[in-house]
Amino acid sequence: MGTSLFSVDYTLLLVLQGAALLGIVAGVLGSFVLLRQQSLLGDAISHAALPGIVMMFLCTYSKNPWILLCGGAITGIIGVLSMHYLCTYTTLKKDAILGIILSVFFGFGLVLMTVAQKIPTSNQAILNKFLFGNVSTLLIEDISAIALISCFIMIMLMVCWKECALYVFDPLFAQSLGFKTVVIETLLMILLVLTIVIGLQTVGVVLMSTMLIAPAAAARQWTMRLSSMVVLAGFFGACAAIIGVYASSVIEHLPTGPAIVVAASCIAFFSLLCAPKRGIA
Amino acid sequence: MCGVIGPNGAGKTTFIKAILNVIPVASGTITILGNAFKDVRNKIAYIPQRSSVDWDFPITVFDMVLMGCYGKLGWFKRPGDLEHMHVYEALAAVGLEKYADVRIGALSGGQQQRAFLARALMQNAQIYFLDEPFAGVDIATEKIIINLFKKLCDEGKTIIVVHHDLFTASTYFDWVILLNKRCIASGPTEQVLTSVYLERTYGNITFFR
Repeated sequence: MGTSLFSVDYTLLLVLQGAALLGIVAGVLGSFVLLRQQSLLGDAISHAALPGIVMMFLCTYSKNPWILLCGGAITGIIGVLSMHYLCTYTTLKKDAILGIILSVFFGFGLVLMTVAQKIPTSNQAILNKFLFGNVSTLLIEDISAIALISCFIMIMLMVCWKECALYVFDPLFAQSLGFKTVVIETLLMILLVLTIVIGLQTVGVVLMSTMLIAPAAAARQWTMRLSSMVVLAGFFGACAAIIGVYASSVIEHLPTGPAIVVAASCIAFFSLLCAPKRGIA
Repeated sequence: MCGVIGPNGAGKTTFIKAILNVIPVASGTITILGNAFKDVRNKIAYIPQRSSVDWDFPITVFDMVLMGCYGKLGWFKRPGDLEHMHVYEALAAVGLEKYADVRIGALSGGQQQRAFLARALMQNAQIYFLDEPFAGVDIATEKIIINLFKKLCDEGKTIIVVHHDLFTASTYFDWVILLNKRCIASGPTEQVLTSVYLERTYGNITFFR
């Protein structure tokens, strides 16, 4: 990984593209999550994905990250559904439920991981990359898969923009207008799970939620329109991803996830401080 | 113009939400103008309590009012010039035409309520359901809103208002529904707002009327 500053090689360019795409999608979807006041939802889903990934590995011994991510998506959705169930049928508050789901699923995932370590094969090394993310192992196939999923997410959002904006702003009113809010909510949830799935390889389970929240929170400071907030959040996400990937390629042993997250947090911090009108200064 | 009146927790909001199909009905059926809700949806406008949305949301007054026409447009269709024109008409009707490009968070409580009204006007409905439109607004706004209601009534629209102020109720409404968990009374204002019915609704309190 000793790439010098001026010899940006082909692999790095490729990886940068993948990471930038993820940054855009995460920022865009993060805006919706943030405004819906469900910031921790992304955190819960990404943590809930870990046991699925490891279980998939235990079933298949596969090294293919996409097979494992399918498992992650399944437990991620199970996590969301159980949160929904607990919310409807218990008197527990949302934050308590999020905390429970997050730690129970993540803890279970870690237990499974120690089981996986004991298996006499070398393939389990791949599991570590889902914890903190590692883009250096991304292949061209992975990048094209990321690109494909990103395109799908963006197109869905563009087609249903009006409905999503209405739902996020005033769900009750949306329902009284005759929109099936369950459909919109499910759509947003599916897009969120997809975003997290493509993010897990890059940023990892633990830090994925920052990728959703930090760019959106930063963008929130600069604008009073949803459309410009979403665009700006995508831009910030891409910037953070590019800076992070580049830093981790220049500095040895710096994992990508933390590098990207630090970059995103810097942008958010700067925005909080300096944005006109809404900023502290 | 009809008032839905009752103490806190009487189920006034629940009553409205059930009519509007926002929450499931425990039993019975609801017909509006002789039809089920989904057949007359376009004739109904709903104005939720002001506290039901996040006023810090990044949206301008114009864009929020524009949302009023989304129901008529249905899925996927985008608003065009015609809808934009309607927004300015609706804003003018509530006296907010100068605030079109202002962030909704910058409005005062009364202006927020009027912006909500403008959004409902976009629906061009027959029946308007309002949940506590006078909660936390000043006298000036209350006057503007009442005058607007009178105008709508003159155009033959029906306005159903959840209200908690008994003192203004008798001047505003020509029909009153008294509610406390169940329907206590429903009828013309002067027949319903009597001490007998009010006592049944609010319990044994002395009313200074």
